Amino acid sequence: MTPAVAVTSPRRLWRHGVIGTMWLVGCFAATYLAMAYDYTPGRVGQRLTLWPTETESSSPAALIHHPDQTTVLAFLHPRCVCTRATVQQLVRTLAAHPGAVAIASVFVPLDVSDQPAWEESDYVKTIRTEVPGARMVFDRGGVQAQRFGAFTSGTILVYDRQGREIFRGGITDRRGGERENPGLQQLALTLTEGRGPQAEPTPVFGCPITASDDELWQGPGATP
Amino acid sequence: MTTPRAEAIFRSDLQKVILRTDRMFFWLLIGQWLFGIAIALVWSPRTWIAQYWSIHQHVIAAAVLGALIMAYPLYLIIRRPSTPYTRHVIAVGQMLQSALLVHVTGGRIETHFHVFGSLALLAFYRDWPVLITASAVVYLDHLALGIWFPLSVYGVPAATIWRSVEHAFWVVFEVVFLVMACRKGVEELRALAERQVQVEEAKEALEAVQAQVVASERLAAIGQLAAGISHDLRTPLATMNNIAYFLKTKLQPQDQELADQVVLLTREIERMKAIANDILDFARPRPPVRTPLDMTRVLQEAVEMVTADAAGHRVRLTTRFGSGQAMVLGEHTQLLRAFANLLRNAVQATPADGQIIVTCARDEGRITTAVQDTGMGMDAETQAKLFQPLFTTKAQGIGLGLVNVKRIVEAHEGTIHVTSEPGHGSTFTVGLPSAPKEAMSHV
Repeated sequence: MTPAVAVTSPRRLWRHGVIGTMWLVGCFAATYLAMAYDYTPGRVGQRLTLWPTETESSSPAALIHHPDQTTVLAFLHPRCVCTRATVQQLVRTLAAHPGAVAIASVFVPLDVSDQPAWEESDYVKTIRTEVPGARMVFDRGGVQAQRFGAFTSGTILVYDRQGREIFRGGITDRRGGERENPGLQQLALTLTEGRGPQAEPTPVFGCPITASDDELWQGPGATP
Repeated sequence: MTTPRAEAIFRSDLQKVILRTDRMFFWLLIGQWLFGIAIALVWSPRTWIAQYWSIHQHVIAAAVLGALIMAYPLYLIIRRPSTPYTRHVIAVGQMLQSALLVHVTGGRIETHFHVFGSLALLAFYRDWPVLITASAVVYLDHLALGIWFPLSVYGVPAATIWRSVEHAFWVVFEVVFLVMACRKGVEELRALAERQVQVEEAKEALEAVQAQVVASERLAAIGQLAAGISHDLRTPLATMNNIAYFLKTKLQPQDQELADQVVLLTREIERMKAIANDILDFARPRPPVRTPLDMTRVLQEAVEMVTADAAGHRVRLTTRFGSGQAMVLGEHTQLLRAFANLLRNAVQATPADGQIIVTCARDEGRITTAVQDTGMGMDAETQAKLFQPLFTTKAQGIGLGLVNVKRIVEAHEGTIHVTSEPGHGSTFTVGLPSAPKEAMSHV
C-alpha cells in the first residue's frame, strides 16, 4: 500500500467526487434491480367462483373437493428454492388450524428422466412429515395448475365446505421470505373465520410452474 | 496541555490505527463478498421455470453486485489508505454489503445483525463521522426500500415514511454509544501519547544521570590518583621552596640575572603548590570548621594576596566594604582560598588598565560579596559550564579552581552565581548567611 496522500487538489477532489457518485448510483441501481427480482410477484390466475369439476375423478392426480370440509390447496414447484418459505409458512398455519384438509399439488414435468427425484424432494418430505393427513398430488405437466389458474409456485387456494373459493394468493413476503405478510394474515383469518372471498388475491412470490413466452425473463418486473 | 511531541505521537498512533482498520476492511470486504457468493450458492443456486433452470439471481447479485460494492473501497484502500475519504467510502461499501447479505439470505431477520456488527467494526477507526455516513446509508436504504418495497422492511404493502424513523432509531441508539466509544478511544490514545512522552523524558533524564554517574566515577578515580600524586608532591615542593629561599639569601647585588631566575622559580613553585592544593581540595573535600569571622578581613587578606599579581598586570583593585564588620560562620582558610581564587581569576581575565571592584554588603541576614571585573566577559555557553570539573578557558588552568570555590561556598550554606557579557566583564556574587547572634556572643 502506498503512503497516505490527502485528496486535496481540486482536480483530484472533482475526479473522486465523480467516481464516487457513479459508484454510489451504480450500487443503488443494482441493489434496486436485485430487490425488484425478489419483490416482483408471479402470475396469479383469475379467482374461481367454485371448485372446478374434475373430468377424471378416478385418476391419482385428480383434485377432488372434500364436501363439508375447508380445503387448502397448495401448488408447489418442488425444486424452486422459494417453495421452502411457502411450505414453512403453510406448516405453521395448518398446525394452528387443524380443521382444514390440506392438498399439495406438486408439479412434476413430463418427459424427464428423474421423475422420482422430483416427487421425493425435501419439500414433499416436509409436508408428509409435518402436516398430518395432507394429501400429495403429483401434477404431471402442470395440468391441475393450469386448471386452477395457479401459475406460480406458492399459490395457495382455499375452498369452503360448499366448494366456494374464499382465498387465493401467496403467503410469503418475497421470494423465499418467511416474515409476516398480508397473505399469511389473510389465510389465517380465512381459516379462522371462514370468511371470503377476499377483495384481491395476495401476491405470490415463486417460480413459474408453467413455461410460456410471456414468462420469459425480461428484466425487473417480469418473472423468470 | 498537549506538548508538540505528544501531539506528534498521538497523530502517528491514530494514523496507525486507521491504516490497520483500512487493512482489516480490505480483507473483510473480500471475505464478505466470497461469503455472500457461498451463501447464495448453498441456499438458492438455481431458479426454475417449469422444468428449465438457470443460475439464481441471488448468485449473480452476490457475485456481480458484491464485486461492484467492494471495488471502489478496495481501490481506495490500495491507492489512498488512511484518508478520511477512503474510510467514508468504506463505510458506505460495508453498509451496502450488509444490505446485499440481507438480500441473498432472503431477508432473514438474523442477517440484519450484520448491520449492527458493521457499525461496531467501523468504530475501530475512532472517527465518529464515519458512523454518521454509515448510518445515513442504512437510513437511505430503509427509506428507499420503504418507498419501493415496503414489504421488505415493514411487512405491509404500504407504510408511511415515519416507519423508517422507527428503524433508524435503533441504529441511532447503537451509534450514540459507538460515537462515545470513539471519542473515548481518541482520548485514551492522546493520554497514551502523553504518557509515552513522560516515559521518554524520564528515560532521557535517567540516561543523563547515568552518564553523569559514570563520569563522576571516572573523575573520582582520576581524582584519587591525582590527589595521591599531589600529596606526595608537597614534600619535594617544600624542599624546593626552601632551596629557592636559601639561594635568595645567598645572592649578591651583582647576581641580578640569577635573582630573576630565583623569582621565577619561586613563582612556579607557588603555582605548583596551588595546583596540588586544588586537586587535593577537589578529590578529598572536607567539611569546614566554622567559627565566627569577619568577611571584610578575609576579603582584605585575599586582596593583599593578589595585589602584587594585579600590579604586574596593571589592573587596579578597589574595595568597597562599607563600615563595620560582616560576620559569618566559616572556616578562614577555606574562605580565604575561595576568594583569592576568584580574585586571581579576575586579574587574569582583566586586560591592562582594567579594574576589579570587590564589594561586601550586609542585607537581611546575608553577607553578599561581589567580585566585579572589566575583563573580556563570557558567553552563555561558557557560563553554563563554568562550575563543571575540568572545564577551563585558561591555557594553563586545570579546571578545578571554580569547582572548589563553589563547593566551599555551598559547604558554608552559601550561593554563588555569575553574570557576564562578552566584552563587558563579569561579576561573581557570593552570598553567605550572617552569623547568628548566639554564635556572636561566644566571640
